[in-house]
Amino acid sequence: MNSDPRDKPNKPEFDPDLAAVRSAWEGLEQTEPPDLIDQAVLNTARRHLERPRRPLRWLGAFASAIVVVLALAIVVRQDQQGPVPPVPDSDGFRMDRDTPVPAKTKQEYEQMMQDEPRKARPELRQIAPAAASEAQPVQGKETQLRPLDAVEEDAAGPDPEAWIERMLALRAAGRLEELEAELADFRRSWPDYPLPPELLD
Amino acid sequence: MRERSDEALMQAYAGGDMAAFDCLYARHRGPLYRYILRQAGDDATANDLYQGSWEKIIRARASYTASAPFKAWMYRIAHNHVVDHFRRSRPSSDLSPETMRADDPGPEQALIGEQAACRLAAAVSALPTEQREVLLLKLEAGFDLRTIAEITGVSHETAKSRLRYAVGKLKIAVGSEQDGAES
Repeated sequence: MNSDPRDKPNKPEFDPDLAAVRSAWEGLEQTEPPDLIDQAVLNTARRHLERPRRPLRWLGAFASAIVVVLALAIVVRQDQQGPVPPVPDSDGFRMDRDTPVPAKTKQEYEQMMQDEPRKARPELRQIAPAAASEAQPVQGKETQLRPLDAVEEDAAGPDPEAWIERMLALRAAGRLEELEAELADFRRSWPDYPLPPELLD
Repeated sequence: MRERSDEALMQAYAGGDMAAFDCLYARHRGPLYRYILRQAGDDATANDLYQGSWEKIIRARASYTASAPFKAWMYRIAHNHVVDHFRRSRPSSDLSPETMRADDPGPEQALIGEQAACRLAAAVSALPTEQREVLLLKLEAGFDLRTIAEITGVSHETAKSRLRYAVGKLKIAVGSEQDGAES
């Protein structure tokens, strides 16, 4: 193999000592690398070209596999847990109040309240046992829990149609003062409910 | 036909042109080998270091940018490779007086020219490592002091000082060589 002619620096030396050393240096044997080393280097260079680097291909496949495994693990875990149960409120009933309670359940509940009124809210006793023990029945009467229908009626107000009927009856009876009071209460409870023309007069 | 620059050849090789590497290698193999050989002290170590340096150059081809001079980049890789080698194996392979004597002329090398050459080579080997490297980068690779400072990772003044000391010591050897030739 031939070395490039530019190997020998041909710039003029301004340092006479360096020039003298360079002159002597150029008289040294120009040792070359052995042919075996040349071939080894060239083969290495060729091998690197024949084997193009693909540094991130495996990484992409690995990341995809990890994502798939994680997704499968999440799905399997959710299947094992089953559907998410409804969140109970403090009374143990579902918070979804729009769903009608089956009549049989209501009756059972009312029966249970009548049979064991003091056991209906045991957690209250645990929370405030002193208050529960100090509570005395008024005039010897046992505290009765009201039926669920009455509780719901209180919360939403009386049935508007029945209320209107009652107000019409008051009007027919000439009890106008009571009618006005009822009408005012009705409008507070049912502000948008249409009233019959008899009551609008 | 206009000669392609080192930078263009290296970029062509990085792009898959093996002929470009052949040209680049032929251009730099001699000086780079001698730069390493004068520091290694023996052929076997020099061959290993030389081959290892080229392997690093080949592996680093993708990171090479044509904005940097190829020759300085190549010698910086070789410099780091040689320094790493001597750091790992300094106690056993550092240049000892025995190693230097191996470069001394033997009785069978009777010719005066060969003796002078061997004396000069021995004087180079006897230089401290840092001075020897600066001298080799100057004489073999033809770098200026600024580039030598960059390659060896020292200041310009340090490189200049090292070269001055090295030349001063070699001048004595050259002077005695010339004296011997005259007598």
